[in-house]
Amino acid sequence: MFRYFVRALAAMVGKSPVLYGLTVLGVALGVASVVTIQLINDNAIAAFAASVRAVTGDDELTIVPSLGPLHDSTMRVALGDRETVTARPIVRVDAMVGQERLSIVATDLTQPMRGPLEPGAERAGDPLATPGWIALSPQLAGTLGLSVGKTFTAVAGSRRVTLTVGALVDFKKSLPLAPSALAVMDIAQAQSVFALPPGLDEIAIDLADGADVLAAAARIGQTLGERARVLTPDERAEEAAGLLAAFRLNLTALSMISLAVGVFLIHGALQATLLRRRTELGVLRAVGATRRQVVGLVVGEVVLIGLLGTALGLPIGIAAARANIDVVSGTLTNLYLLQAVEELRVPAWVVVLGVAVGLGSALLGATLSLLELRREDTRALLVAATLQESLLALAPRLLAAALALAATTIVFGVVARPWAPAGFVVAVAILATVVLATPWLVLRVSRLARPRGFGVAYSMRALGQKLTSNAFAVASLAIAVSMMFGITAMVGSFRATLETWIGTTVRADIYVSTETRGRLDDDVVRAIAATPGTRAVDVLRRGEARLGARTVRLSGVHVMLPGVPSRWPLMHADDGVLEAVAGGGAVLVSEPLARKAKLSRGQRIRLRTSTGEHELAIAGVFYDYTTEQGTMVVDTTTFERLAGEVAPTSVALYLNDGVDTDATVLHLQARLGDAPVVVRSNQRLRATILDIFDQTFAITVILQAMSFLIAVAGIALTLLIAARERAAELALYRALGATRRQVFRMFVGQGLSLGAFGLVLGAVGGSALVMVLILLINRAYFGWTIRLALPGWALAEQAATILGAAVLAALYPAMRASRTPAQELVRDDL
Amino acid sequence: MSALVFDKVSKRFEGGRLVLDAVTLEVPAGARYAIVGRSGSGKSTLLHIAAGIEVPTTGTVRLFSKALHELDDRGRTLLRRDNVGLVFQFFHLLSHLTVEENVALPAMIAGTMSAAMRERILRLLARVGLADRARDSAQKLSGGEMQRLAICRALLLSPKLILADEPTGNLDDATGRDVMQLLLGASRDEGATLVYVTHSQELAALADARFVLHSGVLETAA
Repeated sequence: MFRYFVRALAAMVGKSPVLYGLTVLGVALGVASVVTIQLINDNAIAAFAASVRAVTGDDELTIVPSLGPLHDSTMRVALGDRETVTARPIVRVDAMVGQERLSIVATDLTQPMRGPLEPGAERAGDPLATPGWIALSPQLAGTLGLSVGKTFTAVAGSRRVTLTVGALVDFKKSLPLAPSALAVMDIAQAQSVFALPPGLDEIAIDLADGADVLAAAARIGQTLGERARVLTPDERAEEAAGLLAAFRLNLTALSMISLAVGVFLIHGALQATLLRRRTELGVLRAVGATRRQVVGLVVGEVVLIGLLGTALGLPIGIAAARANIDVVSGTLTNLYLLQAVEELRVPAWVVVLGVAVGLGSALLGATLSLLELRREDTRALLVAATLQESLLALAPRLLAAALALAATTIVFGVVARPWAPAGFVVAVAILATVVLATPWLVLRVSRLARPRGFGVAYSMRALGQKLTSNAFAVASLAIAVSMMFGITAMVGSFRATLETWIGTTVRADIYVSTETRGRLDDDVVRAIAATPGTRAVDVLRRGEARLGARTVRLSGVHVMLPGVPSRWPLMHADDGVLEAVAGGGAVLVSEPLARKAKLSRGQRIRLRTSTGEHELAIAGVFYDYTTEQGTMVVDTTTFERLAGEVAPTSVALYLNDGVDTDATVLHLQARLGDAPVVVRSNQRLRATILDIFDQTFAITVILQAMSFLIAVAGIALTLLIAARERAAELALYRALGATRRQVFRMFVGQGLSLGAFGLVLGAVGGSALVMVLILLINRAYFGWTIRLALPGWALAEQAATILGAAVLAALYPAMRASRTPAQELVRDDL
Repeated sequence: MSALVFDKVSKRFEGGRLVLDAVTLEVPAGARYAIVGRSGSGKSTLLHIAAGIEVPTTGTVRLFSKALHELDDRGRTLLRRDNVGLVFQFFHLLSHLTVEENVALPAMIAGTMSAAMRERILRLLARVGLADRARDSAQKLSGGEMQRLAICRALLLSPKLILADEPTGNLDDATGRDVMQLLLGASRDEGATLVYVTHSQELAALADARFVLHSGVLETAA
């Protein structure tokens, strides 16, 4: 039987290489989309873990502050545990060298550690005594054109400092994913050079050999109480994973849709293969082959398609991840302040996942066909029309199931709304509804078409003829289009909402901040505030606070500025809200925080800050899109009471009427020439915010493209199959006087009809999907209100692309079909 | 005037098998000719060459004075569309079309569908007793009804020549006789030339002239 399998397979591939290739491509793209996303997800977390471990090595425990910096006394607790061998204080500083980012890890270099103090490392000067001594990675030194002994200028916050390259340390040797922007210097030097406030960012603890890590963590944690948390390396990685959970979940869900479309494609291809080989398989059964042998033949074929698709999909997925890592890395850095992902690591589990997805999707796609093959009736295998007839009979029942599912989904969506994953369940149900309704709709509409010529109406009419393959092609395209439309509409709505929000919140004429989101020195702030033509000045200070187990961002601003209209987009009426914040010490809560922590206006909350515990009233809730983690806003005076003396991170200037903003920006830039700050006009800040937004959603475009490509391959495949299966019908047209051009046009029309069907059904599915994305998924995972604002032009462009792609996909099959000779009309197989 | 002229037409398929061997035949306009022969004798190939579907290996074919070998594929297709009606043994109806639409197919292809054409379709269907089935799916018809429908399709564009390949080959004897009578009557009424192939001597006897095709050689029947 194996020899038969090989010969039959070779004959099949030789006879229809394009068809076979498209099937393999469907699996490949499905595998690629999953592999791309999982690689990006994994590498984002791995980069974070590597940046932690690169300097501290394999320390067993890390103490991180619950709030604000760790007090120096925490070192005594760390060193005081009986299992502690070393405890290394760490302070992190983000700096810029020209356009390059520098992640400085400052630690106690008198202690033994890997890297700069290792014997044999190239060094110059004394790490402790040479002013500004810093160890850079060779990669960064190369980029900056520096070598050991050279000095350079770095900028942290609004402070410009001179550093000396004391050593080159290749962190990547021990940890390939360590960021090249990593730099190491002595903690005392860093605190002095950068004029850092007192306190530590973390403490790395190395325990004695054989020590019980968890017990030591519990002991130290108990001593520290609520001031700090003690984490194992795994827990730190989990923290990063948790931070990215919503981001990762969304990307994974998108990649699954591509996979689902791929499964449809495989199903269509296998169904066609089986239809063509029914007679052959029927004869095999008739001459004594068992059901198991026949099923084995097909399973072998499916497994081979799965393996070939995986072999092709893995490199495509890796290449796509590599090509997009910068985009995603930029997003992660912007949104979550995580380390940039520089290199792509391909862990074994992703390869295993790719193989599982490839084989699994191929077998899933073959399920219906295999069930058909298991039929007892050998004779049924010899009748080509069985499947077509069964789908014709099933179509109304599938429609009824679709309607029932739609009704259940609506009820479920309303009832289960508080349950976060409900949105994903509803999204899947919507796609399933579209799929179930497709056969009936294709049949119905094809029957409604009244062809008066051999044009598009005729092509439309012919769709109902091969319902099995056509319905699957339409369904897979409809899923891809639903996803494209849904996401485009959601992103467009989100962007429009954001633009409106920016219009309300970004009201100042000029904003001054630093590249690293660091602190602005007092003299710089004074200089900015003294800008001529200024009507009002607002100063933003940032800190952290604990609300129960949640760490939230605490912002201090002048909530009410004289002569400046309110810039707080409140979710409710402003009946004395701002007065309560400005004068009454109350707090404004961002929408994501209000949703996630179930906070509401009027409620009193207990907030823990670096100065102790405070009870505050919530004066109001405002729309906020800066962070999904949640923000609380208090007035400047309240902020000082809660967080103490904190240097500002940005200053907003409101200019008098008639003052030229651009000229003032130039004036400020000239005046602050020595201070490394970023001066942005209102317009430029708005553009920057929207740029970051666009970058955030860039990866979704890749996934949409993959899914779309699979669906288009599905159309090409369906039509290629049709060109083969309908040879006798095409020959009849030719015999009755249809020219090759007419047959070509009719086939292209059929591609267009498939595209149009997919487009219409996808538009319906996409409309439902966008509501789910906006009302359920976004609210549950990010807590944002997005107002529906359909990006008409973008959707129209996509619709045109879909129809254009459908026509393109039809060209080759149409060419094949047009070459069908009238002589093919010799069999009774119409 | 001759509707169809075969002059020493031979056809050799790939592999070398000679299917037609120097066939010479002249069919006068308005005549009804029958060609009989066993399975594989080359009857269908002869009709295909007459319709311009197949190209002879040697010899010339003239259809209404036009030499087929001088026409390209498109020319032969258009000549066939405008002048020839085809009836097949296996009917070759399209299941996704209604009875009426199956008849209308040649007009759809020719781009000549109109209200007048629709009236003609209904008249043709009435003539073969299928007027009340116009909206039904062609799949629902019996074998005899299917062939009557196929005859309507062949007659729709008022062809000057009807080529029928075993039109009764898939029908029982009684139905076959009815269908043959219908075909003969319709071709006469429409003023069309009819060439049909059959393996039935009884049906062949209904023609003006009979020929026997034996191993690719065409001979006048006794």
